[in-house]
Amino acid sequence: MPQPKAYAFIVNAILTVICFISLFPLVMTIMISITDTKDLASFGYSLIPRHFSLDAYVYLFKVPTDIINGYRNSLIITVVGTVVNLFITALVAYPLSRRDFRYRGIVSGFIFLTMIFNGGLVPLYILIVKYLEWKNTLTAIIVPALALPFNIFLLRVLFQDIPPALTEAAKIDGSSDWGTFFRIILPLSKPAMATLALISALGYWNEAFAPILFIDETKKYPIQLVLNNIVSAVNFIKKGNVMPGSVQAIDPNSVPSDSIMFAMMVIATLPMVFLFTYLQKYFIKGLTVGAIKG
Amino acid sequence: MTSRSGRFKHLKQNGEMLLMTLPALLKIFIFSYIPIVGVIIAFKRFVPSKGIFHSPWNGLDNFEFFFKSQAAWTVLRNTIGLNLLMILIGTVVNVALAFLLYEVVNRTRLKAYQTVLFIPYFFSWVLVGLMLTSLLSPTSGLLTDLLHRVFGMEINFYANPSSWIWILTVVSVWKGAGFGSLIYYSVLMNIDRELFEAAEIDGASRLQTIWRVMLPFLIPMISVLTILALGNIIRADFGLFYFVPQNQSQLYPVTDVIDTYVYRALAKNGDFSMSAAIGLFQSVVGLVLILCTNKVAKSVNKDYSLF
Repeated sequence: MPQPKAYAFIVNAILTVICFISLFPLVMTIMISITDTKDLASFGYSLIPRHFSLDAYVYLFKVPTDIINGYRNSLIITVVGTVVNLFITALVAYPLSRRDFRYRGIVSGFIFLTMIFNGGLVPLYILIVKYLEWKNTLTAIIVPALALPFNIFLLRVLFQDIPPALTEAAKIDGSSDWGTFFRIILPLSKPAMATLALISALGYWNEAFAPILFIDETKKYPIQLVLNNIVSAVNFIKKGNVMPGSVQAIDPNSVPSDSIMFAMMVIATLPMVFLFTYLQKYFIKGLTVGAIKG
Repeated sequence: MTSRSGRFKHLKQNGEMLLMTLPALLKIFIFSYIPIVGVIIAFKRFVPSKGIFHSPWNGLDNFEFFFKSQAAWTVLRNTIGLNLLMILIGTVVNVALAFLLYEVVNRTRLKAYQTVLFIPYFFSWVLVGLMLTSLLSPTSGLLTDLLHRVFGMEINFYANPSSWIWILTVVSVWKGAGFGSLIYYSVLMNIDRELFEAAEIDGASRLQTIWRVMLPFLIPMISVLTILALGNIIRADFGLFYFVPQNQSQLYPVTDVIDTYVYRALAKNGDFSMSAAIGLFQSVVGLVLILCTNKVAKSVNKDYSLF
């Protein structure tokens, strides 16, 4: 469309303001996390640090138990969960994308029904805690989020973009369905798999509901629960107490207590932001195709 | 009519593919179908030591207990009311953003805007809650501080439940704007640009083009997403309502929704039976809503419906 200069300027100005609002909380968090703790005490939060300091990060890695544990637990949940999820979701989505799969309707229906009706939280809770005895295990966070109907149908739509001629040709050449799946479908579906990987990893990394339901041992906490409890931990330190779980007393004056919380927030969030910028190309394409055709 | 041997032939032909679906179907069966049997707890006085099947029946007592309580009205109103507000404002903002983005011709700028708008989508609700505290905290929050210095206002957001109607809405729209606008933007991208240019050549102003020519192209997508959202209006995003107000009990009059109420009843009070009753109520209402919205959509236009 013809673009009068003033018009383009207004559009860009509005979008710049909106982007500023969008990014402001993250910028603020990073800035506070690198502000000298004495400045925070005397001047409060500010966007531009008077004195720059990485003390909070140094402290976090010096007295690390909770954070390192949380990071490790979240990494296990995210990596194991995402890999297994990709595998079993792709396995079920592929036959559903094939027109010659006779049980397509029944299988889709079986999956779809769970999208519109479920038994609610309590029966699932009892199943996991009383019958499977998964309380305080990472399994309780990983398994229930596998093969989610939405992901299966998203992947099915993305698989349908692969020309059926390819599968048919492979079949004529004597390839089994499993062979076709591993040798043709998966290599051709990198964008689709990247999209699902990102959705899945994001879900696992940020998951906080399953953990607060199923995990009460501090050392099994994923990073989000560590984060959720950091406020009380920091307040604890501020009052001159010791960090729960650590034996030696810590001099509260030596602790960059105010900036610790913000440093932790940054550490817990950056992996996802980096992963997104890295996979963005695939992600945006995959999700929009999924949303429009699905 | 398929003969016995015919059926066997189909099984054999599809056997490999059937096997592929097995892991996912097994997971769905165990975690989505088996729990449906457990809804009978809603009609029992659940005694953990006796288990689901040996606990005594108590009819509709659990439902009665909940619906006669003060909390029932509050959590139902909050769940439905806030969801409606978020759907409405979210849709308007996302569509408006899509139009704005569509006007950006410079590829690099467009990419930058979309990336930045998308970043909050990757934040956890726990993080959002903490960020919000640093903005709104009565003692040190950046925003409270600003309001105090510029307007001389003394506001303690954490003691003022009604302000959370808007705080929660803004947070929800802010977090979802990148994703929401992207969907509408890609619908616009799939339409021939010349169509819109033709409208301008015929003398339509830019706003007229947007309103009369571009918006109609978005209506099907707006309908589909709204129907989906209305079908889920009885469910609230637990993270948004629990971690963002940081489970502050003085804010419950606005922030307590069905999902947070059920969580507390279950995890804090161990009230399995009542939680199960509310959960079942939520599921049944949700099912009815989805079937209804879908039917309405179908009667308006076949393309709008989900199934």
